[in-house]
Amino acid sequence: MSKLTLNRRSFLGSLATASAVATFPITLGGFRTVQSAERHTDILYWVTINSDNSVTFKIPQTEIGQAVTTTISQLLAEELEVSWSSVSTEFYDPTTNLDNNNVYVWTATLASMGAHSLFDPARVAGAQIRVMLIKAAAVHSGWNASDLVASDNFIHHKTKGKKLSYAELAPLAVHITPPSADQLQLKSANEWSLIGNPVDRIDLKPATSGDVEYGIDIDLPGMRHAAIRQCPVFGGTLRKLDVSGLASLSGAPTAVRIKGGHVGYNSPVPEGEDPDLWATPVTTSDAVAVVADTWWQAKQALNALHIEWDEGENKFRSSESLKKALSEKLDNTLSFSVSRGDVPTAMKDAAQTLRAEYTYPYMDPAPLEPLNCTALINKSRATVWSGSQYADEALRTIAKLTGLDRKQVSFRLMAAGGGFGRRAENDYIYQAVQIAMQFPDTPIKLLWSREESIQKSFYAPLTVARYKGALDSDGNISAWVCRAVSCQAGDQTYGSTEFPFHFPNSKIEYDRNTTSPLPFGWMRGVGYTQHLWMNFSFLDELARLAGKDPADVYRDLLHESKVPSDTKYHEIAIVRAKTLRRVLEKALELADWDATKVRKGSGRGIAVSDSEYYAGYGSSSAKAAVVDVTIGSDKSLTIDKVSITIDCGTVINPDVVKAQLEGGVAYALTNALYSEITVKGGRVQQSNFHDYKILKIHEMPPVEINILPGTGKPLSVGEDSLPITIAALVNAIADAGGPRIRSLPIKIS
Amino acid sequence: MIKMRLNKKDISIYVDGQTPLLWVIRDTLKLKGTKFGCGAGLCGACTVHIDGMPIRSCSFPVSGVNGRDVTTIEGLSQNNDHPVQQAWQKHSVSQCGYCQSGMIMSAVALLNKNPKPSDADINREMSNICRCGTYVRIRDAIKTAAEDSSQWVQL
Repeated sequence: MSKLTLNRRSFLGSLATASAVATFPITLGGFRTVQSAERHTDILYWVTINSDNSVTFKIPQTEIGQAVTTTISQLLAEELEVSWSSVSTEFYDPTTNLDNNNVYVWTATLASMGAHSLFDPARVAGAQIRVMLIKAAAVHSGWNASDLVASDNFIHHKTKGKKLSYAELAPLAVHITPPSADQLQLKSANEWSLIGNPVDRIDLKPATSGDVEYGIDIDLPGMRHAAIRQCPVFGGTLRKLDVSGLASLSGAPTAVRIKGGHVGYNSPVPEGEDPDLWATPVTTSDAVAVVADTWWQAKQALNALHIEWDEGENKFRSSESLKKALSEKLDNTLSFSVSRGDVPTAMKDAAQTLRAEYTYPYMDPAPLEPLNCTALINKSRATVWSGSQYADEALRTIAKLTGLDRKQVSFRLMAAGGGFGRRAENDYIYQAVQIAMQFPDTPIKLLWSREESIQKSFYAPLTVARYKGALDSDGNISAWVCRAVSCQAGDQTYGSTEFPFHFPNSKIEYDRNTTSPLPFGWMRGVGYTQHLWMNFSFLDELARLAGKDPADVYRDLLHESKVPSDTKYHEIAIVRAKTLRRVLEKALELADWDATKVRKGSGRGIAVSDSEYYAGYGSSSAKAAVVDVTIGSDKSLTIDKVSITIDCGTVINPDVVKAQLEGGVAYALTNALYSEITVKGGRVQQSNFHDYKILKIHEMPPVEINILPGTGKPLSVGEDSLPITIAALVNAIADAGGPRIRSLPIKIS
Repeated sequence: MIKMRLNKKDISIYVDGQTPLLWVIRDTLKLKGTKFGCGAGLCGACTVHIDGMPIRSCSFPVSGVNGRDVTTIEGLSQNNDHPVQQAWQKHSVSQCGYCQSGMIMSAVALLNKNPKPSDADINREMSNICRCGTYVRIRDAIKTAAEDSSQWVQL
């Protein structure tokens, strides 16, 4: 089982041994809301104190829209005691991180873990620097440290009415040994002024003036542009390239061959673990790029090339042939199996039984900013700019390709126009570096077209599951069988195995690694998005067969008495059931749930879940969705409302949580209504937003977000409204008298 | 040579007339606020105004703007304070932000034509894609801007 928590070294230990260094600035992507303040002093890797007494925070995550630049800044500013208006941000430097033993703790922008993983490290760093500044003030002035207090970018003397600015003190503070974390007193929740406060996003204003600088916006003197055509069949190789057509074209186009190969991995792997079990290897096909003066010229010139591909084995594969292979797999024994009780007897003794098969198609995460990377390379240095969700791995990939030491490589992380998992794979960086290596000292910007982005993505896996259920004479579920097969290397099937509901007799089986014509990639919501709606839909089928209100069935199944006493991690399972039941009850109350009240043609569905990838997985929130729909006499589907209720622990910024859950609903509805990638002859058949549709404003329902009071570390929010919204939607459709949806995208008529 | 009035300045440029306006704006004129999303006029990230009309610049040859007025997000206001920009800030619409220049340009064009749009008007005219799904707030921000529209002067 792929565990996403890493065998992390103690962060606290790493900071205690870290020396404070004053360094000269390097320009990184980020949001400079404070205009051109002269940089001054870097302290403890996290903070730069500028000469105008403003501060710049280094954000060890990629901004993909989740507002991580804002929320991590709230954590740092809370303990550092700086005013919110004095804060600007830039992205971390992966070389600094890797050279200092992962000083930023969690840099991969994956698994909705940013706020959770950095909640302590960012606050500790802020507090350490505050203490260093206080000590520096004491040394500088001869005052007693105990008479000093930090506030609004100054160290104040409590009684003398005097103060020293952080900018004055910073050069001295860097020589103070940082206090260890256990010597620090972090603020308690009732002392917070920024945490819990819906402060404006750091990028609020640049976002409305077109001033956010994404990877695609990099512009360097002498820069040339590359457009790319990759082998349309994954794993294919270049057989023949005729470039004679380029000679007459403007923009001085030059063709470049790009070798496919192993790029790296799509998520961090703990030291000493087998990377192929913990993450998915990222590989690319052969490709051809054209480099020209402008991107438009380069793109046009691609059409003048004559390219012959050796399409390899995948040209004989399709999504239909894969579905067949998965079905055959389901007819046989599956490699992973957990069971309880005696399913065959329960099925035999059942008052009623039910069987159903569910499928989930391939999907492309499709961030709106097409993939791009700019690289400037010579024999002794590589500088690369890109939005990547896994910048540490990008740095390793660049170093390996160029043969340079990582100190000679600078990876400048940029804001990304969406990620949704797609930017966890650094294939476009691997390609841009190969191109730039052929043009020493010339910056090259590689930009993919939308067609390349859709057809050469990394895809949510096509998944098929077969269910069997039994009801006893009281209408209780006496047996539950789920057998799921999918086609990826990384283990996504936990969505079926970690169902929080317990049945007296059950069998859950799965298999994976069926040869797929498309490569697997993370997509917002990951395994739960494939499996949760299937589980809830089949559960809803059984509830209806029993003539029961699904909400009552969930309520009953989540009662702690239903957790079998011999369950592994029994205590964790009890806490989990109680938490989910509490969230369920609240969601039902807020929705004024009454199964007897529904009008003709309209329906309601509900789902409740966490995203516990394994027992005790610490960062998942608990949430429920209620979806209201109407099905017209013409079979048209209207989604009237989506309500999300969530307990996500401590909330750093309630408006950010709300925005993430609202956006997740839209993403879920696109998955449910439109997203389907199909393959024929090894090629993806969709090419742009006309045949790979994204939800638009006229289809967006009103969304209600209920954030329940929570404590402890912040829990996941980025992916959390997805799986439950799809699940509640398919059940609402059945409730409205529509068909039982057993495959996505949803088709009503 | 193509002459146009770009963000209230007269300019002349020498480019292939078939080049889509988007690439002239971004790569020749170095105005990066207008975005590339699909290259096929489907997503609206590249929306600019030509003589006040919202146009998908990725699919509009630059020869078509000869002698015309082009406005990009950079020309919408001096200080990022057009009522639509202010409404966007008030509702904290943006997530990744990539589509928002195009969204704002589309919303301004809608409000210029129809200062009090109904939900149906918004649904019909706002056909841009936001992959982050900020649509609830886009609708709210358009309504806020519409309330203020008596106080703003058309571009």
